[in-house]
Amino acid sequence: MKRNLFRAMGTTIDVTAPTADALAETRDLFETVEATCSRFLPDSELSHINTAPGAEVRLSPTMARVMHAADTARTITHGFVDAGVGASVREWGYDISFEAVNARIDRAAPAHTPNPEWSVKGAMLNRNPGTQIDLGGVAKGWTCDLAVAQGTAAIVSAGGDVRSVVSDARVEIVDPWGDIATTLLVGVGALATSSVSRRRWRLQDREVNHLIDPRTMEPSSGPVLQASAVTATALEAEAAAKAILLQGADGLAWADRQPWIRAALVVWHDGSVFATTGLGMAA
Amino acid sequence: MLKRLFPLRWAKIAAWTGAALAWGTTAIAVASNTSSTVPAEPPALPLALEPPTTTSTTTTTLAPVPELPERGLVVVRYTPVPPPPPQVVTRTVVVAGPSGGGGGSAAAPAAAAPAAPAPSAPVQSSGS
Repeated sequence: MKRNLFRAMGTTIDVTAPTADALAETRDLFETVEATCSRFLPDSELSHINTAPGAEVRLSPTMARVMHAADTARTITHGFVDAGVGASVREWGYDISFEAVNARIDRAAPAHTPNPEWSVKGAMLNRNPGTQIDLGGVAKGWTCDLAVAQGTAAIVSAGGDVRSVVSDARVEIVDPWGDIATTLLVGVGALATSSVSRRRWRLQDREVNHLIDPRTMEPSSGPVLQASAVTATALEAEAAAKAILLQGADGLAWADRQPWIRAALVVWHDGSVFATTGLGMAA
Repeated sequence: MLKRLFPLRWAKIAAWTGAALAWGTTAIAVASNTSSTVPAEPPALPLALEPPTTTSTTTTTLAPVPELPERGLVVVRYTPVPPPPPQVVTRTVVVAGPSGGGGGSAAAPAAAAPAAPAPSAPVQSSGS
């Protein structure tokens, strides 16, 4: 097995693959999806979609597949993970580099952003005028799944979204303090972690983060600093981790009721770590 | 003699009876007035210059532990530590006018390639 790390989608991609060619193909895949789905790249298809007039937009095959994945994430999380919160993410200050965002202390909090409305049928995306798409997490999870499905990666991690087809694959969950909270035996499956401890900044007297709650269209403010979920695919794990974090104290109980979530773990605001049963903790 | 005194006697009786009734009526009336007197109202307070201050305290209480899942809650670690300070992640991002901005999929800076880990080192998941 070969292993390589590279930068893509604003994070570090960690790939274990059978051959060097497979590693290269996986890297090409991530770069292609990023060029399509990044809202930071002015020439990406997503940037054109978010600025396109009219309600309907025709999607490229890759974008259509990612948007259908986003639709799946929205459905299985009962709306907690909604790719249509892009406008709110931007208005709360996550529209430029984190360094500049952090300095923008006197900027006023934005007015309430309308709830997103969008749907995708085939290659057609339909959304209301105020809705902008943010595919950050969905694109990472979907690309991990695709890399494994096409056989160019055995284990792939994109900023904490992990997909594996190696039966004894283990993943260390690192808490916001840099300590290893636990080591999980993921095996053939996926694990993702969502955190509000890293990408956060101050907006006037309020500390905000990049995770927008679709119920309030404001940054998450619950007691959970970090949530992890074990599922079959990285797309599901990414969606589950975000949904658990957004639901705060109810997150673990919600995860326990979802048959597609094998196990979940949260890092509480005081540093405690709680989990559902079924978490395959390695000794 | 009897004839002379009799009218006088009855006159005295009538006079004293009338006096007694008058006194008694007056006494009862005075007593009645006294008992039914409404207690004097307290002197009017000076008008307040400002409305009375209402003390209201808003407390935000975070749930001590997560809601209990049906199949049980596993406590992996219970060693409360202070929450971490905000960590500013600095990176260079190409902004595309008013529609720019982004979630996790951002333009990567021209950073040096991270060192490859040992093939056997565990993959880590710390959130994005």
